[in-house]
Amino acid sequence: MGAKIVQLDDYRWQVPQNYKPGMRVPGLIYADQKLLAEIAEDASVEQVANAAFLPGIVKASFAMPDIHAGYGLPIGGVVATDLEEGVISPGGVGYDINCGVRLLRTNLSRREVEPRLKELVAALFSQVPTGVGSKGKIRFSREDEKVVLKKGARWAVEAGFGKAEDLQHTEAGGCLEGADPEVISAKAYERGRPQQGTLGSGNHFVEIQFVAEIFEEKVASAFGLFPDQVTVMIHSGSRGFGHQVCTDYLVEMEEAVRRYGIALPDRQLACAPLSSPEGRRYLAAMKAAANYAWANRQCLMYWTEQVLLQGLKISPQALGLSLVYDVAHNIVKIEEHLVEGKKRRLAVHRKGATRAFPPGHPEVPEAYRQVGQPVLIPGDMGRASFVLVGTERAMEETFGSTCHGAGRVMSRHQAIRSAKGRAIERELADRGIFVQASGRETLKEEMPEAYKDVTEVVNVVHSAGLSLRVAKLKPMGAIKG
Amino acid sequence: MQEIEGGFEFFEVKADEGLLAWGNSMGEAFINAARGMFDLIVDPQGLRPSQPCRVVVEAQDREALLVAWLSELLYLFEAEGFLPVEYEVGKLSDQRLEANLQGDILDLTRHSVKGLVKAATYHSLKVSEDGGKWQVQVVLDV
Repeated sequence: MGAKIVQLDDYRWQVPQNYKPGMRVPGLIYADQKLLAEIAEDASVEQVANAAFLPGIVKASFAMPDIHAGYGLPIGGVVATDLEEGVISPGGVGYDINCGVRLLRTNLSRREVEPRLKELVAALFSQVPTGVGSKGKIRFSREDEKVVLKKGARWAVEAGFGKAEDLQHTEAGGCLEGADPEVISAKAYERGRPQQGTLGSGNHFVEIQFVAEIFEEKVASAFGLFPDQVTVMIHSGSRGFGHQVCTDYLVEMEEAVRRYGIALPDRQLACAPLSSPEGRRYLAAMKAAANYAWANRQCLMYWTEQVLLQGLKISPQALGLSLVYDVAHNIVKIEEHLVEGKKRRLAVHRKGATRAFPPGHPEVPEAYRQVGQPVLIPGDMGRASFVLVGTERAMEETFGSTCHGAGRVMSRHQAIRSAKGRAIERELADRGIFVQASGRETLKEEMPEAYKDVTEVVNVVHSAGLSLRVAKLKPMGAIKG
Repeated sequence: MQEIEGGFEFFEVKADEGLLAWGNSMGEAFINAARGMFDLIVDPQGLRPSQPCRVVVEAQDREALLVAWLSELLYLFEAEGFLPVEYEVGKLSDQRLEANLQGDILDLTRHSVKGLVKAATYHSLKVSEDGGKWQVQVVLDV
């Protein structure tokens, strides 16, 4: 290793360009002292440096405080490349394309829901297809699937899952234009068809929560949040469809790297110029997978609402369920940003990072434009989730990006070993949190101690000014795959 | 079906699962990698080798071939519920693998699902041979 990491201030650490020969820009890690020590323990810093090799990368290879080593780009990485000179990299998005989160608000308060909590969790578990091998409830033909890929959440609303105004509160309106069903493999279709409208597994969940603390009253109010309010958070992605799209295109990109003579320190950074046929095809396929995921989350929200209506035996008006916002945290978006005073169109890759646009930005829904874009940060099962708001500072520094959640500190195997003999379900129940999971080891793999404390992660992005704390949500009950 | 020697074990990778597999031939190591991957997905107890399946994959080099092999098996599992029990690797080169498998079809009433594997990645990918012993390393996105 060449140079060392340079501390710029309490929350910013630079990986200098001479850290590794071949870096085109420096790396910039957002963390506090304690998190940085953990980050330096695994290959994360190396991966931040490796990402800086990508042709056409602009400004820096960014890392959010929840960063952990993944493959290729670290999880918690942000890389923006020039539309004309730069590359697009599937590893900069991840296998679970448009894994993301949506937050639903209700009119209800905690004590109205608490008495029925166990039944609601059980009902969610039976109504929402969850876990490995689960089949969706919707019957699709290949032609139907193509419509979903082109229309995303719009398809779901047209099919009766939710309302048109939900789309206004979804990033990108729940649909990226330019998705091309023709660049999707038969295998992806076969994996995708039975899984549309399923929750997935691993760290995906539907969680009933309550608003435990409000930090910014004006913003919380604009988002429709109040103290003790019952909310629901849904975390899910593009399922096997997205995984297959990424798998397929990594093979294509491997060849593209050879064809275009791109030198990379890590095979998983395989990429192609955005202007190349391979690059354009991947972008169109990625958009299709992103749309699949938005359609999915729209359906999951609809079924969640049905469970609450039936379980609580109240009217839709009384329930008052509506979508606060939906964000993607594994995606590449074509966005316009100011770089050294000039407007530039960039491909912003956010892999385990969330968009955090400021007040006044045209892509922020009208209802929130005065205050900024809601940023949803899921925590873990036993601890908190957060609602943050985007800032001008993020726009200036990180292309409007922030963290996405609590990174893991323990591998899944480590977590299972550590949890041996413990009944995680009962431990949570003792604290009043009811969880049902379909995978045998899921609860152990996902136990709170396997993750960084999201409060620490949020503290860094708040203090660094990238996104400000608005509300803290605590879990009441959840279903997991 | 051939008798398989060698084995597999997991190594630490925070958000993913590192898999090491070995054997007395490249084919054996590849088979043990598949066994390791499926060990993450479903409990091998209760799997019956009732269904045949032929797999043919091609790639640029043997590391990519390992990813192609595991990716194909993942696809077969998700698209058809196929769970391999017995493996026989036929033709094998650095660029092509042909295998005949016997396996089960996922049945949630008989099988105990452990977790999900999203993909076999190219991260830290290794296929190596030392004095007749083959070892492969792959990181699985879980």
